[in-house]
Amino acid sequence: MRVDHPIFNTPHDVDLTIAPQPTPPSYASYPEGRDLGQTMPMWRVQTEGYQDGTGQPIGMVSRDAGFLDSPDVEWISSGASMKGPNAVAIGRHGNFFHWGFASSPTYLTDEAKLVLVNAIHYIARFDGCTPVARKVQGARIRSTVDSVIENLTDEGYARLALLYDGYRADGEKRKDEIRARIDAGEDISDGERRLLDAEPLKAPGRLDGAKRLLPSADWNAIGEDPAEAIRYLESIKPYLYPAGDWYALDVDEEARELGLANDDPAFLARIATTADEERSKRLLARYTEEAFESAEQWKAWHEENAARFFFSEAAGYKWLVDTRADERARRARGEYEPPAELEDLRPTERAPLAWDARIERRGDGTYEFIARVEILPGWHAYGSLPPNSPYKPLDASLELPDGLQPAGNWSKPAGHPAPADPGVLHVTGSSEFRRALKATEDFDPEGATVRCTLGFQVCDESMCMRPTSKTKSVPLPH
Amino acid sequence: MKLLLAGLFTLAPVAAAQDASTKSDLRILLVGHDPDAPRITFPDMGDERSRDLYAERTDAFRDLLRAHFETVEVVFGGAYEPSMSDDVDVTLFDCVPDRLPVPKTGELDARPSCLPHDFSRPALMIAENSSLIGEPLGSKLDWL
Repeated sequence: MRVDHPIFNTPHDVDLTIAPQPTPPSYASYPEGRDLGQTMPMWRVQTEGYQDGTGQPIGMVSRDAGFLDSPDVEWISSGASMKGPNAVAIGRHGNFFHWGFASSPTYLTDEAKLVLVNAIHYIARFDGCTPVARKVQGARIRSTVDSVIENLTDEGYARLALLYDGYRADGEKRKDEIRARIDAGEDISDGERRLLDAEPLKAPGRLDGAKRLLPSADWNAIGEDPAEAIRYLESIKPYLYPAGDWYALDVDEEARELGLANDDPAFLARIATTADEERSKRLLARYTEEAFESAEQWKAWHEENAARFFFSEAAGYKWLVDTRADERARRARGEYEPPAELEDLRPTERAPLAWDARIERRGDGTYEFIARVEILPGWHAYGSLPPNSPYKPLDASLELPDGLQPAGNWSKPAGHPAPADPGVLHVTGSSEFRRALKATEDFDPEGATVRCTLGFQVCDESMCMRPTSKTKSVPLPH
Repeated sequence: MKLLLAGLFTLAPVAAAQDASTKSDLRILLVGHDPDAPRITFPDMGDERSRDLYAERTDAFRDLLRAHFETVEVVFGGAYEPSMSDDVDVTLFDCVPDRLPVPKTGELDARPSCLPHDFSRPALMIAENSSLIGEPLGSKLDWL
């Protein structure tokens, strides 16, 4: 779960309640889920889950296989489910945002309601950002081969056999429960009757997974030695591509002849610059979505887009051009229109923190001072630092005219723990300083100004700007 | 694909919530269930419980949204048309709209879908709506 993502802190900086919960049993069958332990830290989204027995609707997670193979997506959080620990419970693809939790707001925690609101604010930024890579249903991801290879090893197959032992035991327990109900004179359903007659579940043969993955391979020649099967799969893995049938993979012998993995940029360069060859023409048709007529056009396309190509298995094992790279960079740089009343709120690479301030009348002689801070994505300021830290924290101070006084403490940006040091709070994105002000009875706001000094230092992953202070004079409304 | 909680890979809690008392001027369109004719995807729940949950669902989303956004419009799934999303900043889909007429050309366009292939407005999908609405458009936020 990316707790630093804007949906957890912008515009509402949500205080996430995190507690250990039982690790979902399905996670253990995934390589990335085996070492998670009996419990894992979780954030509760719903006050009732579908397994609580109250009838809540089931949510949805998307499998993570191939999810991140294009630049137009974001994985934000997984969720307790029947899939793996990296499945997508909260995520984005292009202009679509996925909130995988199915309950109505009546059954969302207060924290989750705010995060959902933040998610709406977030996806609003992606107007016009349609997906660059469109998923092809039924295209098996190449990493499936790694799972098959693992189950061929001694350790992997022992783990698989143990899993099936567990399934068998669960099945026998279920049968005993049904038999007990029959003995008690209860009726059973047709499905339960069939379950009683079913053969106990057996673990698949050691090479069954490999043969099912690649039925077209010459398994007679490969034999029954798992080590030989592993060697074979590793040798052909770089040349696998969708064979046309649902979830079927096959070896692209023409790509294998070239000796270049079909997801290697050198492969694309080779075929795009030799488009006068018949084999290259076939490979270009197989691995791109373009249909140029001449070799010169292919070459020009390859040269023009050299820095923007990416390979997506989810999109059907295609070389695609990231047509939104420039636009995404602009949005990442924060090049957007600030509200009219805050004209200077445009951070840049040279000045990653921009801020402006205004004073709003609240009535009865009270005002509110508001300083809005915008920090370029990828940069952060410091909300809290340990003693003797060399960095300058983000802070605001006011010089008030006679007749105007503070009427409360500052409301400051809360920040979030730094990834590498929980004792440090980073402030990122949009945030505000607010302070109530109270005027005396004889205070005349006409022509009066408040001077605000903002002190800060901004850093990214590799460097820090010099600590600095900036002062602005803000007029009072009258 | 069943869901209980969001799993975390960090133990660090974040700081206190910041008060945001002013409503946003983002314009929101909620595509919700008609309480009298909800479009329920999963037959997991008893009929009575389903009726109770879906009867209050659209109002609950509407009330949450109106607490945070100045402009919130509500339309039931059967009445939604993609052009409605052009008049708002974000469309929140809690209910699957009607399928569009299937065009006669183009392999991808031939899949029945609720939104046009070039739909480009910001959309937030609740649960299975991501798959039901997005899958025909090539969304990776799908069932599998």
